[in-house]
Amino acid sequence: MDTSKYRDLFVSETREHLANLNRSLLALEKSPGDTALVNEIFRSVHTVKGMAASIGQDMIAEVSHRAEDLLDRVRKRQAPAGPDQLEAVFAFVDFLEGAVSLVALGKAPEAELADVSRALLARFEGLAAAAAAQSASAEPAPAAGAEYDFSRIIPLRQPDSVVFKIRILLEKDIPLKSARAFLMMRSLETAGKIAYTVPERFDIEAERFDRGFTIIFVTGLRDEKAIVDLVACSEVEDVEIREIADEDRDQSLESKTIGAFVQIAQERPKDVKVSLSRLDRLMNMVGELVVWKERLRQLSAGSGNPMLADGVDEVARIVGELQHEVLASRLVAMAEVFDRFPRVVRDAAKALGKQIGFEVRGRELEMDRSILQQLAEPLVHLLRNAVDHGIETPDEREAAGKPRAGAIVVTAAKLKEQALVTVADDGRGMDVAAIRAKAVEKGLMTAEQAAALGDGQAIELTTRPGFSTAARVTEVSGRGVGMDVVKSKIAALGGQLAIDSAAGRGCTVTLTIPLSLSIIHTLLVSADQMTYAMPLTQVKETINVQPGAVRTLQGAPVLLYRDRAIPLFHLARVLGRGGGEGELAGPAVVVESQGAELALVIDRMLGQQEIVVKPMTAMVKQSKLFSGVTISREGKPMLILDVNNLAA
Amino acid sequence: MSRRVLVVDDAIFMRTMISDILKKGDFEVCGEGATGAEAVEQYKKLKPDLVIMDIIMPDMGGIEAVKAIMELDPNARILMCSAMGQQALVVEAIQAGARDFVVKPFQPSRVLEAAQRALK
Repeated sequence: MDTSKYRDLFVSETREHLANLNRSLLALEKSPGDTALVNEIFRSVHTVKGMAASIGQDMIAEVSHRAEDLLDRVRKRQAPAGPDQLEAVFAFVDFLEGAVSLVALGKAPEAELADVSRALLARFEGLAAAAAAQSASAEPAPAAGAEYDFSRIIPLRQPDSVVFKIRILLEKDIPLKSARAFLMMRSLETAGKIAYTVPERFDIEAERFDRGFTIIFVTGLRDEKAIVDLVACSEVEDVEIREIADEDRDQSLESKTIGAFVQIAQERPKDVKVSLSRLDRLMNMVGELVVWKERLRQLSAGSGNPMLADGVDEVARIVGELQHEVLASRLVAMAEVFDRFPRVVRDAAKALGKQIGFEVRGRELEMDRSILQQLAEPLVHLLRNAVDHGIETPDEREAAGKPRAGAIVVTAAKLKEQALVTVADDGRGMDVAAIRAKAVEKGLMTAEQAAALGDGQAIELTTRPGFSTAARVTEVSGRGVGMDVVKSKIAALGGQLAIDSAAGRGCTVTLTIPLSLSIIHTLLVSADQMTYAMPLTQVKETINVQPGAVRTLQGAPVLLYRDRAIPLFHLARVLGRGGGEGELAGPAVVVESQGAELALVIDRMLGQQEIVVKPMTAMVKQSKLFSGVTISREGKPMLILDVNNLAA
Repeated sequence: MSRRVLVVDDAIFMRTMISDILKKGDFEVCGEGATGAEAVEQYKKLKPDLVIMDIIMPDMGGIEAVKAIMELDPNARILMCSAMGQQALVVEAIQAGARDFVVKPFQPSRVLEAAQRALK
């Protein structure tokens, strides 16, 4: 079988199950007696096993199979849902997460995870042996969770009726599939009743299926051959018939492995998965449409042709709607990333012997999925920091008069077009004295300068590259990556980071990130006959520099701005182009770069414009001065300035 | 013994084509018709083993003709010809009693297979 086309499906589907597994396992840890949760977990593992086996991922299939065995024993109450069992399943989930990532990259998980897999298998084996030793005294409880929906079968049953599962596979690419299916069902109904179909009949009749479907058929016919004759018609590749006995109510899950993929393709008629790269391409095309729409508008306005203007208006309206829809289709709920956090916090707390109550708010807020994906890592980092450096040990907390369990809260809220994400803990707060000492030790400043720093300024120091105060290297937050990395990642997303810390009371990190990166408001400026776009979020003010307001400080020009003197440059010079040799005066833009204000003299302001950020070519990317590229109304490429890196 | 088939289609081209396909299998074309009304009339007269009939025809369409023929002979075996995109009409024809359907453009093997199955 050609498995490559199923790989993406396997990866995305398994990742959904992983999210589900993590959620359910955490819930189960809190209420170990919850059979519904065990069943939920069991089903997820089972499905993953089936999928893995179907695409030849034998190692994943085998480990999943053992995990499923363990869960099956828990389900049947032959083993407890104790800490040992839960830890083993958590470890399995981690293994699966790693393995799926490798599969996603087109690598064989065996190469990197063979040891992990062996260790897990040994662990499951040990638990199985322990359960076997105990099971002599244990009483098996009836298992729940069946493949068939008996609530729809039983009402149709007569004393001598038989229930058949009929799986039909039509030939490839045939026309009028629904009519074909309808013909077969109608023929069956001459000899019995259809309890239900998978996908549902409604979906089959609307052609929402690939080429296979399953009919659950209640009939007085006992002969499978007679049923084959009933459904026999042209354009059918295969018919598979299986009698459903009552025992199937408990243990028919095995057969579900067959055709798992066909079912996946069929059972989700309402949502389809779209790859991010495809959405990106769509977004780019919409971006070009938006730009050309503006260009057309200008041309039609100049032509004086009212019919053309009407047409262009209509196109503009449709392009606007299209842009809105495409942007909306890129949005996903924060939950996609937030739901991983309980697990992260739990593991970190466990490793460090801390007690933490964790809460997530605003998981329903929607955000562009490419931004959200890039936000995940910095957020995990902040959480680990909070657990590792923020929250004290239970004993320390008690001594400080706090509850033994610390609290960490992650919230997401919408503020204009931005997402406000906070990570707050009620731990010890940042140690300002230690930060000052470290700054001196690192040679960043003298002891006097450090002492003169306000607390807020000292805390800002932690976001400087290479600055980290963690006294010991822990497994959780690691070495050398600190707030500086988080800050630069957030800045790369066009966001900002602020830290608010109070000694002994905790620390709150606030991130402000655009909800959608894809279309930004910019100020267009020209310098040396080139047009540049500056994100409005980075522009503090536009001013007109009077020659008299310029001074020289240590040989460099500065501008008297408000009550301060700020560095003044000509944009063309900063960008290494010619021009701007004359007097530093005229229109200028005040921006903030790495915490410092500076003013950029330009040739002309060209007004504001919405632009679509396009993926950058490798050449532009090498320059830190630009964050992206867009297309101007005239159809020419235009660079987007990133003032964050201008100061250097 | 070869089975007798009535071929009904308003286009001579299609009738000829279907007849040619059937003759290559073990079938005898015993009659032809160009409308639904002719189909019913010919069915009464010829009592064929099988009817192959287009869905859309002038002067009584295929679906009405299926209903009329089924009334005459509840065991009549009728195979519908349809074009792509006529799913709803095909479903209606099946509800009326048609045994199977083939979709234009025809593949000879499919027509023969459907004809054979309809006669089983």
